[in-house]
Amino acid sequence: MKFSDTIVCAVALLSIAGCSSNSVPQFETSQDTEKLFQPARDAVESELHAAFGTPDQLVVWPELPVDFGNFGGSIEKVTTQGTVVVPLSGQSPLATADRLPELSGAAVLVAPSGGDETAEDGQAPAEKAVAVYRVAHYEPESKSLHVVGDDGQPTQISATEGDGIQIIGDGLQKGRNLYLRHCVHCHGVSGDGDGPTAPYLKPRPRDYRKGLFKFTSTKPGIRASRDDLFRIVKLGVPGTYMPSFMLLPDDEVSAIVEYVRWLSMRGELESKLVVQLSLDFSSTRLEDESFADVSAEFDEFRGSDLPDIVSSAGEELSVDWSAPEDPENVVTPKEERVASSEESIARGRKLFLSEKTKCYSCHGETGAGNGTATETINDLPGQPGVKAEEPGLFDSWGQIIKPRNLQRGLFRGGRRPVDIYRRIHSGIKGTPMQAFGNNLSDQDIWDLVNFVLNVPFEKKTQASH
Amino acid sequence: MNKFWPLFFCFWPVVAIVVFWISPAMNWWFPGMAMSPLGEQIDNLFYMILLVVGIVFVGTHIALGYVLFRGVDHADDKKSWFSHGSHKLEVLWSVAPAGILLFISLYQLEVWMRYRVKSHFPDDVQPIAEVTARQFEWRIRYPAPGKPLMPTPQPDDLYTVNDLHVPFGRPVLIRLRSMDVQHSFFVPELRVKQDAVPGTVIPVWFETIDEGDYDLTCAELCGWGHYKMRGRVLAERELEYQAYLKTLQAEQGYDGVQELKSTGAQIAEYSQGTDNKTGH
Repeated sequence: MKFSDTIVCAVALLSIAGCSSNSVPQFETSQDTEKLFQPARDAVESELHAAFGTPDQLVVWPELPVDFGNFGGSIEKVTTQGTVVVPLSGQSPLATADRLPELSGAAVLVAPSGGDETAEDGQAPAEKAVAVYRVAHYEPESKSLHVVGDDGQPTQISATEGDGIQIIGDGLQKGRNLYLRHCVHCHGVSGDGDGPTAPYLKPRPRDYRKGLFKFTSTKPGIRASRDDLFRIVKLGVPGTYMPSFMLLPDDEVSAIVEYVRWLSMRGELESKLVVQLSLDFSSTRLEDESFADVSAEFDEFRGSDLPDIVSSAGEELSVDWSAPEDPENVVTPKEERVASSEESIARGRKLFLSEKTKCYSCHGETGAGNGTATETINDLPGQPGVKAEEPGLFDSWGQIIKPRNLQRGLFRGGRRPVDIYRRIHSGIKGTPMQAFGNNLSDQDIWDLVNFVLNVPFEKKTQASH
Repeated sequence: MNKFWPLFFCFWPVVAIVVFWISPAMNWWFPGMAMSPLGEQIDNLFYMILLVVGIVFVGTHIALGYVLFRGVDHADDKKSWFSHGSHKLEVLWSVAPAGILLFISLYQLEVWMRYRVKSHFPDDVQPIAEVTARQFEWRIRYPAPGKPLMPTPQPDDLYTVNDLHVPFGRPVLIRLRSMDVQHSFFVPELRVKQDAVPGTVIPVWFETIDEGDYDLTCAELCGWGHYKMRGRVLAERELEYQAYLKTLQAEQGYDGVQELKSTGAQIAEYSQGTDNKTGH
């Protein structure tokens, strides 16, 4: 009897120990932030916390172009206390009619109508303050919205007919939940590409915090669009460990994409702040100055300059992440694809081997990805003149990167002609693959596309020299 | 109390019989209806073996109960019969299981041949796709509509992932490969399970009797993302299947300029072209 008791105890202890490691996910601070002077690091962390919250408690920073799946409508009738009749409609793909019954607990903003001049930046003037409630439940048939106060207590709703109602959706929370289930073990809680499985993967999972994604449909220098990220999640990236999530419903993929964009913006804000602070408030300053001096200087900076830095960083993020959704910024070929013919392929080959494009210098004369640039010492990406320590090509994440072996017929960013057109036109962001859109005509690019798509089918004898 | 153990050992076969009898009706544990003709035959083998095992289980418990009942009334001064080393018994319980095994192995031969031996595949079965398992997804290569599947990739092949469309009502064949480690192509509802072995191309045929989507999972622990390898086999009407290939072809040839046709438009076009011969 004693013996079996011991076993039961041991099993119980093991299970408790097993559970204790299952802690609440937390955003991690980047390595660059860690190099800052302690109060500066704390300031960065508290700014990030204010703008983005924690994985547990997401914060809505209205500045950001993030789709939270909001619903809106205007009040038709105020029936009883705490109940209004309002036809709600979704304002984005994440707000679909079948999510209406799940709204309970969501924040309700009631904006009085009349005097349409809402102030800039969405801040309503004080006398027309936006009232905040929570959804108790919504009846789609009768369009009745029952609300309680922000504190969860029954309350009177002070609204009149025609007042606008906005319900903050839970799109981001939904995205967070799906991200934590499907993505986090490689991409990490903060989107730093350093989840528990990441050390075993080559190539490494994407670190979102630079806001850089390789395979986009957008022009050079423009962020990835929602559609680009959607395709990547759906189709996966052949030749890497990124699997396809083809069978996830579209709305779940959209929610994940939104959360990934949001994580990117969080990472970008962090690095923008660090860039501003690292020059003056690096921890190395303590080597020859006293803590009190630096601290006093920082307090002054924090009071005067930091709020402006944060808000202008927010504006930049807003502009940068809205841009890819503008059709103007999407690369669309002006001419239809030139039919793949022997002549077109031959023209493409000539361009591939020409001094104009120098494709061969990285991809090799046979397209095997073994050009001479892979064996020479090159400049580090984004730092012209700074030589790398080892030979090879580097990406913006500081890793050695191989030019694509075109003979294998694996195209990470998609194999449609338009995908390859965009790779050539805008380059691959964060890699030495540069944009050729300004130097080549549509006809040239299509010839190159036809050549590239044909490389896997070339006769070996033809390709061997 | 003397009769406790005999009753105890007779109780379990009774429970087993009752449970086996009612569980198909209660939908407990049983694999459900097979959605392929060969699957039904495989199920018949399963039920046959279940019957054999059930009879042996019940029989041995009755024998055990009988022996125990006899033992209860055994007089203390009577000498027991010591059976160890009995030549007759040894022969009996060696030959009987061997006979059963021989019977099963001969009985299943035909189904096995139909399933796995190329010369016994359905006559007109053609490969419709190459399925390449890799960590952690199923990459699928179709030939262009109207063309046969070639062993090596062709310029006009169509590619997709995790989503295998097949026409229902006729046998189809896939070529199964692996890009990295061993995986297993498992469609439980069709009773299809075949390992994908690196370096080999294995033909697997199946026929679905109705449209619908069937779970495709990996049945060989292949790495940390094994659980992620969920795909589906979508059985659809010939018409929809052909239209799907057309849509895939248009999608894959997309140059960013030309308009893409919807699947609905492709179906309409196809049904006009074929005079709706294959449609239902």
